[in-house]
Amino acid sequence: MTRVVVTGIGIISSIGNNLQETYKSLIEKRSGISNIEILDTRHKGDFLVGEVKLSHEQLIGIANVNPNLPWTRTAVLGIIAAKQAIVDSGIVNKNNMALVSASTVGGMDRSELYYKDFLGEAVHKDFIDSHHAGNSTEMIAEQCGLGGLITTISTACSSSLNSIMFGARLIKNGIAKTAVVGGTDALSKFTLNGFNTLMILDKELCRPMDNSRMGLNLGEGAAYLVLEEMESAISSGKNIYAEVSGYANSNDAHHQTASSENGEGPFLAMKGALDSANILPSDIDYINVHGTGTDNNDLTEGKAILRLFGENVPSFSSTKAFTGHTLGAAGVIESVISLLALKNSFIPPNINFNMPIDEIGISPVSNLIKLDNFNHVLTNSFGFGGNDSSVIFSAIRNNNFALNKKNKSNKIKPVYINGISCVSPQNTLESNAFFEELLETNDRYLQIQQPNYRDFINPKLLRRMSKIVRMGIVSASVAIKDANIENPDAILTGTGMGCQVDTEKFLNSMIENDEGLLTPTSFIQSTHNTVGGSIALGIQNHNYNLTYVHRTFSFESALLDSLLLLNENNAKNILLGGFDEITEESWLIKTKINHYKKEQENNLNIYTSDQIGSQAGEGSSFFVISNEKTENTYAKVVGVEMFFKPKKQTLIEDKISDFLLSHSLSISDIELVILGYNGDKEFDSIYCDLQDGIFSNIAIAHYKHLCGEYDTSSAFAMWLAAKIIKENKVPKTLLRKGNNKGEIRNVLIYNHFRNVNHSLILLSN
Amino acid sequence: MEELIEKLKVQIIEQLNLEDMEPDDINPEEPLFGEGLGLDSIDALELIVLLEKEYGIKIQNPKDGQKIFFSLKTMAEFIQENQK
Repeated sequence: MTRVVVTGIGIISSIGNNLQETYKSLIEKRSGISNIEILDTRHKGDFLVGEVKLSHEQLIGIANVNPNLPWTRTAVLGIIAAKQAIVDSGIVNKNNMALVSASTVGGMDRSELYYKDFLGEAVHKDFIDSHHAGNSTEMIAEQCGLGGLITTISTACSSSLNSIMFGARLIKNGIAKTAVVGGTDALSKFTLNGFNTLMILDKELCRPMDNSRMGLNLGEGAAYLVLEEMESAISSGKNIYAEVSGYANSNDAHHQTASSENGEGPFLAMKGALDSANILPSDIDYINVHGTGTDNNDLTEGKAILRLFGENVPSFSSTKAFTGHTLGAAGVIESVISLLALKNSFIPPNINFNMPIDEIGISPVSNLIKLDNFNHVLTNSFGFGGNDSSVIFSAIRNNNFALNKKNKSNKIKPVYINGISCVSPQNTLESNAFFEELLETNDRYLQIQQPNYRDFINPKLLRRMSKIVRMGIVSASVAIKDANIENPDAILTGTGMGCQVDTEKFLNSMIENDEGLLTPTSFIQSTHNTVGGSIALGIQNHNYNLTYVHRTFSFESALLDSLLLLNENNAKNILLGGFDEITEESWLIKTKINHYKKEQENNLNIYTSDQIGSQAGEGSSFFVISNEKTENTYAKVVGVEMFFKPKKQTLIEDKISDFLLSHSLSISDIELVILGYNGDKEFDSIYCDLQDGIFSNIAIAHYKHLCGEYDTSSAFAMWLAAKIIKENKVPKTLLRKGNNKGEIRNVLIYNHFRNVNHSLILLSN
Repeated sequence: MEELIEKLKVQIIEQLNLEDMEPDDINPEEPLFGEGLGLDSIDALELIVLLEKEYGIKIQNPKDGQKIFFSLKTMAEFIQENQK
């Protein structure tokens, strides 16, 4: 398989605004932890943080972007780092360059300032659409002129190691030739207060891996790497930092926030990374540990290291006493530090260390040391929801690059949908009737038909779960049962807006109580990967578990990752799902920017409604997909494609034709097209043009009168397509045009969000 | 003491969203965590906030919670000792 190398680095954090400054701080042992100066919180003076000492305006100046756009601090930090990385790589042609970014709370740094305004007069309404976690990714793609696939991962504190991993896999699978990967997170009151409710913030300087540790210091920053195929990087004489030689993600499946006592998830992640790099524990020269400084993390990570490395624990250090814990950016910031160490043959010191932890008795490197013959570095990041990741970077020396024979068969193999389930505003969970009649409501937005949750979830666990977690777990368990499998080899999920109920709950109480007397539950549950983590916890699944959070690319990205995993033969059965929930406040806020209709409307009449916007909805659809056909197989997934902001309508038509052609099909092979019409006249015109144009001879179905509009509604459409293919029948209630009488072999789903995020999914019988 | 315990029962059920529980279901001597009521470390953090909000008692080290929240009885005793 293609090997992938790092050819560009960009970074901004509290220890430097670029790579050179970062390097200098490390070798001079200069920490970036200080009092809070920029973040406007009542906790100024209470906590120490790793803060970038530049105001929002100063950052906008450095990023060199139009100051009149609704910038979040997260986006601007990201742009600064990504631009540096691309310049460093020397890449000029960025037409097909992919971007995989990561963030925990997205645009929260602005949303928390304007939230009450969003609900009221909405003077700051331009910032409403900057809130979602994919916003900074899109801003980076546009500012850097990246034309390839873009997506965003959010798995709490392991997010950006996962984006490095996914970017490397996109290249290995031939989806991209070059990719910008990394993550960005700004300090916010939301996360500061959230971690404070968990009582794991140290008021003094944090002391990772030390016996006296009392918790972590939060930080902020962004970093990006440019990844390329090794072969082309070498042949074009590029400066290569290292090879991305190994990686793995595992789930601890133990607790929402704490690691299991023997560090099962961390152990499996490190072990998996070594296996994928095909090296032995003794080959690792240095570990940049997660080492947050909390009682639980450092102890369990240390135990996992002892389990894996035995008596020969390599040199290790945590660099969080330099940068603070930068959450979604931590994985890539520490990867940059690891790459600097590898390239310059030194080990960065674990500052503030005095005494080894009693229970494990291992000491980190606490002074800067030189290391010759430095070949392999392992870096760890662990997050809420038991999400544990490890990545290995390996030095490229003159004698160790054996270039592989060209393997140009990059075509993704088709896979089978063997189990399905759907919770939606229709009776889709238990009823076998296939939309002979539809549920009709006259409401402002559509809400799910609530299942009897107690039939599926232990009441003790149910008490903490908001709507999205409940519907996610129910639909996941029904899909697993439908496919008749025990435990999937991976859990891939997508959600555009994540856990809105819990996010709103914590945000509102933080604002109303002026950052005082807050409780942890809603903060913990607000994490984007809560559903994926809760499913793993419920079925004790320790396997690969990622959550994609990029608006209407969220489910599609999770689907693409599933196809890649099956293509790599790294999994047999994958649990895949897409879900979003609607709340009164999130609905109200989006009516202010005309995304949603303001007045009630009969869901069966949305396509002819004169109101601006779409009718909001919600739901959760899950699938078990596999590389083997079974008796229960519904359909074959042939492919998925995403494209961002096409400049004109004809480009959409070209994309559709090219997508079909890449699977040796043409438009005349398609028996049914499911289009994402949502009743917003301005944007439905794109579907209309296709219906009257390239799809003029094909039967057309629509579906958002059943489920409403939400970011992962294409998962509902895929559920629908799978049923249609299996039953070889299109319900009349879904048909918009034409009526297919013959065999339904190929069904194409096309959906777009306001002409920004477009996606195609192709299913066959 | 009795009165305080009865009050705590109601407050705990509300704070921890113990939907299925009635105050009489909680035995004051029974452990709140693990076996017994089955609470966990997140609930302990919720109870720390409850003590501060309702009784003005601040707990700095979450590890102290293990002893204080052993049962309803120990919790009530702690409140009596520490309330001004």
